[in-house]
Amino acid sequence: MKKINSVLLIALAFVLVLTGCSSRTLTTGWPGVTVAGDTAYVASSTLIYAINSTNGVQRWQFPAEAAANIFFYASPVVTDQYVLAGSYSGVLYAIDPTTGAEVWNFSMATGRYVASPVVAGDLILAPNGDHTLYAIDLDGVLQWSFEADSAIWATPVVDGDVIYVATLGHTLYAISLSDQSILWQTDLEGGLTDAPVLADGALYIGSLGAEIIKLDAASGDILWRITTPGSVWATPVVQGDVVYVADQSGTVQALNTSTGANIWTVTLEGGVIGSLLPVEDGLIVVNSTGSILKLNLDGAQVWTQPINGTLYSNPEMAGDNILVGINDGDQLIQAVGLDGAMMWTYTPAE
Amino acid sequence: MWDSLIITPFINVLLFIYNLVGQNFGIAIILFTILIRLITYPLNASQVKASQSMQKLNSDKRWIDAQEKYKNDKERLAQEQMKLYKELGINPFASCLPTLIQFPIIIGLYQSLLQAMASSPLDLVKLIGHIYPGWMDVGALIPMHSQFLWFDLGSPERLFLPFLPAVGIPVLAVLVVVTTYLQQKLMTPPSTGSKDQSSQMMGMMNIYMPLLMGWLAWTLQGGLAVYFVTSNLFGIAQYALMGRLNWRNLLPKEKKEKPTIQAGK
Repeated sequence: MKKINSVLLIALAFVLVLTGCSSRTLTTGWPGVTVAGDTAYVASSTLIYAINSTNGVQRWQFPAEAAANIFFYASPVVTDQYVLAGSYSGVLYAIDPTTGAEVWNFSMATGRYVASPVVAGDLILAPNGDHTLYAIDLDGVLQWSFEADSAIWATPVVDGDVIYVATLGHTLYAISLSDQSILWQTDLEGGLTDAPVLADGALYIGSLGAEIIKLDAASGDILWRITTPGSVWATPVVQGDVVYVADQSGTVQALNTSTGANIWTVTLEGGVIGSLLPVEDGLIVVNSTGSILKLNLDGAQVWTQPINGTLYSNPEMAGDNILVGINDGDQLIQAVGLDGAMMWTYTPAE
Repeated sequence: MWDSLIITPFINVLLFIYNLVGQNFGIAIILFTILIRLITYPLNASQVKASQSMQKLNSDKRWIDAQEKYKNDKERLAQEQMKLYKELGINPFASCLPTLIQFPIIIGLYQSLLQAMASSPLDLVKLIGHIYPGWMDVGALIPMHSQFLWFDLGSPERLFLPFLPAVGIPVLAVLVVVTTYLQQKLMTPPSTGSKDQSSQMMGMMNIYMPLLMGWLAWTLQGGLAVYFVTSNLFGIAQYALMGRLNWRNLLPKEKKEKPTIQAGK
C-alpha cells in the first residue's frame, strides 16, 4: 500500500508542478499607473487602487472584493466623470472617481484590454486584444468599431479628425474619426506595443523588430528608420529636435529628429520596457533590474535609486514625485523625489 | 540555470520550427514533441528494458516462493529481493531513472510552450529575453499565431458545433484520456496474474493517470493538450515499431490466468 501511495503522491506532485506553473499566467502584466490631481490610480492584478499621491494612503479599491477571474493591468484613464479601466476579461469599467463604485461597464469585447482607452470629445476609444478599436459614448454605449489586422496593445493617438492606431501585427493605421475610413496604413515589419508620438507633422514609433521609425503623419510614408540594439516597447520622447528612445537591451539613445543621426547612446544594465519620463533637465528611466535613474540631456547619469522588484511600468509624475509600479517586489508603488530620494511606498493590504 | 539549460534552448528550437513551418504553432508543437521524443528515445528504450527485467523477476519461481514464505517478514523479503536482483542482473532503479530524467524535460517543455505562446505583455517580454541574439528575426516572429484548427493554443480547447453553440466540447481532453489509456494498456507487459503491489499499482495507474492527464488537458492551454496527444501517439507508434505492443490487454479478460512459473537460473 505504501508503494501505491507513493505513486499517487508522485502523480499528484506532477500535477501540482504543472498546475503550479500555470498559475504563473495569472500575473501576465505589470501595474499600470495614472495620476490625476492628488490621486494615483493603479491597475494591478485583480484590483484598481485609488491612492493619495502625496502620501501613499489608499482611498478606495475596485471592486470592493477582488474577483479571481478579473485582472487589470492597463493604466486607468481619468475623465471628468469617470475612471475608466479595462480588464483582461474584456470588460471596460466606468468607475466613480470619488467613491470607487461602478457606474457602467462595456462588455462587448472578446479579448484583453492591454492598452488604456483614450477620450476624444464625447467618445471613448478603447483598443482591445480582439483586434478591435471600440468607440463608446460616455454612457457606455457602442457607437462604432474598427477592426484592425491584429491585437491592439497601444493606446490610440487622436489628432483632430485622425486616429493613429498601432497594432501588434506590425501595422500603423491612420483612420478618420468621423467616418472610420482608413486614410493610410503602413506595415512597419515589427510588433507595435505602444503609441506613436506626434510632433511637427511626424510620427515616431518604436517596434519589437528593434527599430525606431519616423513617418509622415499625413501620408504614412517612412521618412527614416533606425535599428536599435533591442526591441522597443514604449513610446519615444520628442523634445525639440531630439528624439529619445530606450529598448529591451537597456540602450537609451538620443537621435536627431531630422535625420535619425545618433547624438549619444547610454547602455544600462537591465532592459527598458517602460517609457522614458521627461523632466525639466533630464529623463527618468526605469529598468528591469529594478533601478530608477535620471539621465541628464547629454546622457550622463545623475542618480540611481535601486528598488526591490522589476520595473516595467511607465513612470508617472505626481507633483514633485515620480511614481513607479513594481513587479515582483515587496511594494506595489514607489514614490521617488526628483533628486532620487525615496518618498513613500504603497503596499496593498492583504 | 533552469532557464538557460532547459527553457531557453527549448523556446529557441520551438520558434525555429515555428518559423520553418510557416508560423503554424500547432504544427510546430507536434514536430517539437516528436523531436523531444526522438532525443529521449534511448531513455525510453532503457526503461522498457528495465521493465522487462522486473517482469522477469515477477514471474521467477524463487521470487513468488519468497513472497509467500516471507510475507510476514518484510526485512527478509527485501533481502531476498536484493539477492535476486543481483542474480538476474537487475538494476531496480533502471526503470524509474529514465522517468525521473524525463520529468524536468516535460516540465520544461510545458513552460516553454506557455512562454512561447506569449499572449500577454509579460510573457512577451520574457519570450524576447529568451531568444538568442541573431538567431531569429523577432520583428517578423511576433505576434505569435496561436490559432490551430478550431481553437486557440493559448486557451483551454473547446469545440463549439453550429447546432450546439452553448456547449464547448473538450475534444482534445477526450483524446488525451483515450490515448493515455491506450498507451498504458498497450505498453503494460503481459500480466503474470500476481496480486502483488506492483500489479495493483499498475491497475490504479491505468485508471487514474488518463483521468489526471485529461483533467490537465481540460483545464490548461490547448497547446499542452496537443503535446500530450502527440506524445502518447508517438509512444504507441514507438512501441509498435519495437514490436512490444500488448494488444491482449485491450481484450476483456475471460478468466484469470494462473501465474506462469519459470524455473530460476
